[in-house]
Amino acid sequence: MRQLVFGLAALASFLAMSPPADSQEATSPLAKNAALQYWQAFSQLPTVEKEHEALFDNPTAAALQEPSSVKLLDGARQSLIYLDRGSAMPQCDWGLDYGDGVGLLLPHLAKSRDLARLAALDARRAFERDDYKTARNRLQGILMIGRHVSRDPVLINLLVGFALEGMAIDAASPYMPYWKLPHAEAVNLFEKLPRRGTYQESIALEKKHMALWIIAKLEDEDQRSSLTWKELWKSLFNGTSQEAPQVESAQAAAQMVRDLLPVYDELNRFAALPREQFVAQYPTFKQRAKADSALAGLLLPSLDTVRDKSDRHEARLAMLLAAAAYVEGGQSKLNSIKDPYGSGPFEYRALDKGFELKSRLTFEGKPVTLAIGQRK
Amino acid sequence: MNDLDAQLEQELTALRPRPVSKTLERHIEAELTVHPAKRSFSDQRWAWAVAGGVLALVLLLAVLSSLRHANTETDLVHQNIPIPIALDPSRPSVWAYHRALADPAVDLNELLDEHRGTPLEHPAAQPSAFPVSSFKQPSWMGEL
Repeated sequence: MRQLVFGLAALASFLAMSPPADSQEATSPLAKNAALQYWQAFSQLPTVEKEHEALFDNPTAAALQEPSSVKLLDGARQSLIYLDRGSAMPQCDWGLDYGDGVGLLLPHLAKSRDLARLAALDARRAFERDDYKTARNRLQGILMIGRHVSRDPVLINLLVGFALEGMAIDAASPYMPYWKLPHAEAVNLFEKLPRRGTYQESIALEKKHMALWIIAKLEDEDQRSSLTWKELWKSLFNGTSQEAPQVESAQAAAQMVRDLLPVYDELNRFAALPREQFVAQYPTFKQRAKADSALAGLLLPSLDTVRDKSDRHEARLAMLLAAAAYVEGGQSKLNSIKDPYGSGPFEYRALDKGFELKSRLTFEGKPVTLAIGQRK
Repeated sequence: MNDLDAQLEQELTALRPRPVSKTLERHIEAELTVHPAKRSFSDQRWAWAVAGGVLALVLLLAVLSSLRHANTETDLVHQNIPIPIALDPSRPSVWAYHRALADPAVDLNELLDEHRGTPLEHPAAQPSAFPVSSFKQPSWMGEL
């Protein structure tokens, strides 16, 4: 009995002494969210003028020393500090409310691209100054925000994630022969990154928050007024070359969307296929789906477009790591690394400055290549 | 001293104590054993009262804490985004990006450039003006 009394008294005093959740001194676990740091970075982004567009397109060593470039990068310093802080945090939650369905806003995508673009320029400037520590920090920041953006498995998020990682590849590749980053360290840098959302997760998300959301919305609007569901139905086809199919009721319109649901499950099967099989089988499936449903072209995700871009990205990433191996151990080390889209190593070609690696993968009819050591 | 006294003294001197019997030993042992003091009925009531009080305090704290969370949640009413806004292609929405990606030739950078603006730039998102003559003008900045 006495022990019970003492135990309860101790519990009560612990509860009384522990600081309340909203105490200023308390470090809330919510603070360990990289997105909070990124949004502060976004809020401090400098204004990008027209003249800077050329710098982003062609960031030569000379262009980086132009006063306007120096001003831009100096103005980005605060944002880059927040990028560093955010990228040091493994957890990132952008707080997306998927209940918003197709109206879910993703304002962080364009902002992340803008921030990563500045970080890539700053990385190049650091490389030009042989400041490899800063350059590495910037690249790591870009890679992390890229992965944090693509943790939400929305297809556009995956694409933006690939694009951001691509910026890091473009920024690093001219300097690989000088940086001499050990191959194992380069591999480790990428292996430590958080995972991206998958195609399967993305398709499941689109089914639930796009197709099923539209069905629920049509039925909901029908309850309110006989006119508003028609507005919704028509609005879905705005900006497309397709006329909204004639339907007599909200239920009929909802049924058209419902008929498409099994196709999402088929898409999942395609998403899991190796590239060769995907390329061989997907076009027929897509054609059939479009022939069977007037809504297929409107609602189904553009899996082929995303797949092409992600495979190209994977090939470029593998070539960057292979370049680190070549710089470290020459042709023999390069030969030990397999092209993920071929049966052997990447093809090597010497250039007047640096070298080029070529994958067996083709993108838009051309082989995917990566030029290494081409400092401008 | 007379003879009677001397005889008595002699008898008394000759007296020897009897050995202690087993029964006496048991009695003494029983008397010497220390028993824990028995709590009175009033002591037990006091202990139960303290325990009950502490338990009630803990429960009260738990209930207050859960009520505070519950109030926060019920204060938030999930508002649906109006359809014209949800399907507005100028906003950086899932729908706008989904529609844009249907075109395989779309340039991602150009697409992101289109959606760089803040939603506040859209007229529908501007806070509606209030009449100047109003005596109860809302303070957008809150009470300072």
